[in-house]
Amino acid sequence: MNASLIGQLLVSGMCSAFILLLTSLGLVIIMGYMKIVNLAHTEMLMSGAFICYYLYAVLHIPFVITLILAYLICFFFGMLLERVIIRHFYGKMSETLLATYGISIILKQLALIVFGKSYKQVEYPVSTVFHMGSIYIESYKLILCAISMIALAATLILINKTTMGLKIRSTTQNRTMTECLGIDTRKVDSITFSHGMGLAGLAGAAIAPLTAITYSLGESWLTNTFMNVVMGGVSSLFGTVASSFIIQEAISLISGYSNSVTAQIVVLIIVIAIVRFKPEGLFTPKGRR
Amino acid sequence: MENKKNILDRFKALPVNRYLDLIVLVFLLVFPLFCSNYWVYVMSGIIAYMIFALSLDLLWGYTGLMSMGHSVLFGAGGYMVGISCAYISKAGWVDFDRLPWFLLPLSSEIGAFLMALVLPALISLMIGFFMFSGKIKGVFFSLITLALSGVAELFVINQSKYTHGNSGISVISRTVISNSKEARLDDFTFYYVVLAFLILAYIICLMIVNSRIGKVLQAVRENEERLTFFGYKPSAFKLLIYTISGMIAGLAGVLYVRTQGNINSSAVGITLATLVLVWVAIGGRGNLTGAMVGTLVLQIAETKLNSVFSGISADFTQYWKMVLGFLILLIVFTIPKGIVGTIIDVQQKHKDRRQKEKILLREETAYHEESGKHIA
Repeated sequence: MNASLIGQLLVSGMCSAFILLLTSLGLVIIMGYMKIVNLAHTEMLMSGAFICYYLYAVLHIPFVITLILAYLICFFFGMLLERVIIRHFYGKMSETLLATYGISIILKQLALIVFGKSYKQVEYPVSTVFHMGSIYIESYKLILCAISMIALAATLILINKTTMGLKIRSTTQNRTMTECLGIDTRKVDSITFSHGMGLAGLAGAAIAPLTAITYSLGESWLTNTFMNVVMGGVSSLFGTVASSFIIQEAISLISGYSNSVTAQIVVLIIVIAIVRFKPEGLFTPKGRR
Repeated sequence: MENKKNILDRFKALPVNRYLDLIVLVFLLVFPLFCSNYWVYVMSGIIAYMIFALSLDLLWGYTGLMSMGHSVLFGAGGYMVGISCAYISKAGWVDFDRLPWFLLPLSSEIGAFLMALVLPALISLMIGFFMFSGKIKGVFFSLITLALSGVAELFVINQSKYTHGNSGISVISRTVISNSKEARLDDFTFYYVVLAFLILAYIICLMIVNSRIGKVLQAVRENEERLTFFGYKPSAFKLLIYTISGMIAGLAGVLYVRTQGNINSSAVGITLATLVLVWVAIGGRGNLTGAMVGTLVLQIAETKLNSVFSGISADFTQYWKMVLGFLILLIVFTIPKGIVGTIIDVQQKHKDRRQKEKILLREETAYHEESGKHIA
């Protein structure tokens, strides 16, 4: 094992970390601000990837616009879903789990019936390979890192700097009080949920060129995204950032030395061990909640 | 005479789900007399699944721990028997002469059977120890077990030297312990063997649930914090039930492998783990009957519809899964307690009303007597 290989592994691990961050952002937001575990999240990634295929590869819409459209489509789908189904289950943990699981099966089987079992492929929007010394990296992955950071920054601004974000935070903190102040918390819930779903769609569209697009795309992301949420916790987005890095760097390094399955097992053990001592996530705000 | 009436009263006082249990039992007992060999074979698989669902109900319904990776324990049991059978009968793909040290008990048949019960218990003990001694609770338990089943499936596919990867292991079926071809029973006899195991598992579950431990477990579900104030240690009880549940799941895995004759990686994966959740959720959790009824109804429906629709479309399973999705939504919307849970609720309401009427009647007569006395 030489230094350049380790460097290569670390860099590709970093890219994967950003991708993981992007794919689990929506999940964290829905879970953190609404206390809902959205098991349909990974199926939204799959839907986003299919949207990307049809808009970008079939209709030749520019990639940036495809991403925005994917976000919007999933946003409105999320709004619909929230109004029809999720709204009835606030505060009931196992019911929401079952309901979102039901939605995820329906989405997955719908994709299987409509699109079939065949694989679809999306070309890289940028096909160059960037290299620095002996470390090679696909430019598209760097772009993904940028997309991920933009999504994170936009979400942070939305939540911390805008009036809407203030409403979201206050609803999470004290729903009754917020309602007393004349804020429509149902609308706030609707927007939070839709934003999370929209981010899932955006992430799905963004990762579409990296993977074969098929109905079972969601499954391959299931383990990592949920481990990420468990480890990062829901009280702070920075916990998610840190845990994405820990998970993906560990996977990348360990897969370099042995194989990816060992890496997954080791990471799962790491996650369980960390959660044992930090059950609320990596970074918890000080003081009482 | 007095005694006889007492028994009758006690029998009447039983909740409705115990009658349902009796109906299920009678149905399962007479079922093979009227059906073809194929259905007996299918049914014994379903009974193994029913044991599996019972083990989840102990954990989810009674203790409130929603395990989304229960199939890991089911598959661990199944794979122990599978590997042992392949090793002893020297299957074609086996290219190892000796088992690694931790699998050594598998070289004997009884060792494999015991291992299939002990290993799932050990896995759940270890994971449970880590999770319950910390403050991991609620949904995080579900998510970690979900990740566990995802990783376990990858692990089984990856360790193809012992597990034969995706194609799985074929096992000499229809014996409980033995691996020899001479000892295999016919479908009909083995069905009753599996049924006996179901009854055994059911009685064990019932005993646990009705004991003091069961009451504490329900208290864990309802209010863990308050239980701590009473001086109980919830984590110890959770660990205990998770281990017992793991052992029963392992037994279910063994029986499933023995009835169906093969095991593959899907037996440890997320698909089965969530499927069993669906059975228990639809049947109704927290009363043992629901888990059995849910599994029975859904699995029979799937097999039956599959045979009906296979002539029309080859992709029946796709549509069935979608129907399952809608069914979950429907159940969660209309009767969140599941089928059996709702039946119990209705009975309870009925009983309450009768009780109330009786009290009212008594008060009324007392009032009349009083006023009658007054006039006199």
